[in-house]
Amino acid sequence: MSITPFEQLANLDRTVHDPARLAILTALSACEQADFLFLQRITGLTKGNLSSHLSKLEEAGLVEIEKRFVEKKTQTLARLSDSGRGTLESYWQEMDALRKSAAGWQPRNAAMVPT
Amino acid sequence: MGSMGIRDLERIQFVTRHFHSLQGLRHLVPLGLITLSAVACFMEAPLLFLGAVPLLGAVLLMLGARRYYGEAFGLAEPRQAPRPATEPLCTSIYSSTGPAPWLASSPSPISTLQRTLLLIGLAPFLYLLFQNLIAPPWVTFPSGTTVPRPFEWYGSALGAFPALLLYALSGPLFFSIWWLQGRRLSQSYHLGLGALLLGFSAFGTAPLWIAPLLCGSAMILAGLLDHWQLVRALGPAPQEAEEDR
Repeated sequence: MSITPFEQLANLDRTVHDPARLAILTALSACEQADFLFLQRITGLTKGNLSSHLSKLEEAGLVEIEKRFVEKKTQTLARLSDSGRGTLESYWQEMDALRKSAAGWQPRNAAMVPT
Repeated sequence: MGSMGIRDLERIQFVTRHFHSLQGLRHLVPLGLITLSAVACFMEAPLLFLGAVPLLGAVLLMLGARRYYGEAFGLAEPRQAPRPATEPLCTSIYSSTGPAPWLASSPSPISTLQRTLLLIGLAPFLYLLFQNLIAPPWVTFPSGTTVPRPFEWYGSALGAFPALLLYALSGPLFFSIWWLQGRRLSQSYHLGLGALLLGFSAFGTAPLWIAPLLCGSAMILAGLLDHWQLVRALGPAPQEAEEDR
């Protein structure tokens, strides 16, 4: 029995599919590395939220975090790991497949579809 | 963060990818001020020193803007080498219109090319500067003769050459920036300014000071618009980013 696009959607990697984390990953995929302030400005996340999402992405091995001191201030740098790039690529491929299957999807039993 | 649409992702990817080239106060505005300083080459001796004002402004901007952008917007290092395999693919479940153009394209890093273009753009200003350094109009030789100004020296026909060169380089410079920044509608002022400058060149180069004035003003305008776009895209400054960047 083939799964519906909606079941496919439910099976997506939630680590990447979350809007805030997708925004962070998109930003990091477009640069070599970015600091905390830039990610905060570009995503519009609060400091706490960004920190929490970065931690989750780091735990999942998608992002590498480096802390260093610049002029006596802590600078947090984040970069997409090789595995993160691969995961993001797979995510977009899944989304592409999902979009195509959703476009051509027909309910198996039309009588069961509420009108 | 609420919903995330394809436009938001596009904005994020565009601004991150072109973070450095959008820093107008660091690149185009100083370049425009340097060009404006060339206007002074066409002035009489007492006013000649007015050219130092925009030149000084350009130097101060180049020194200060880097720090300003770092402190206000943070750091995003451009990618060193293209990795097409890791680019997002053509997809969008957020858009009913299907694949978005930004996802389909995979532009290569442009910083080196842009630097080269900026250097090419600097060529006519350096030319004017050296002309005046070699033969400054305020120098009076012991015999009492004043060295003629470069454009008087070469005659009007040859004097028009730097002005034409300025138009010829500034127009394509704007076209190149627009092209390299992804040919976006929001960046189309580069296209408009490039076309305008090339159009002005068709009207001739007299008086000669018009070319640096127009090209310099166009560069300053484009730089300010780039800066405004960056500020608008990156949103308001966070209030809690003091201790941790």
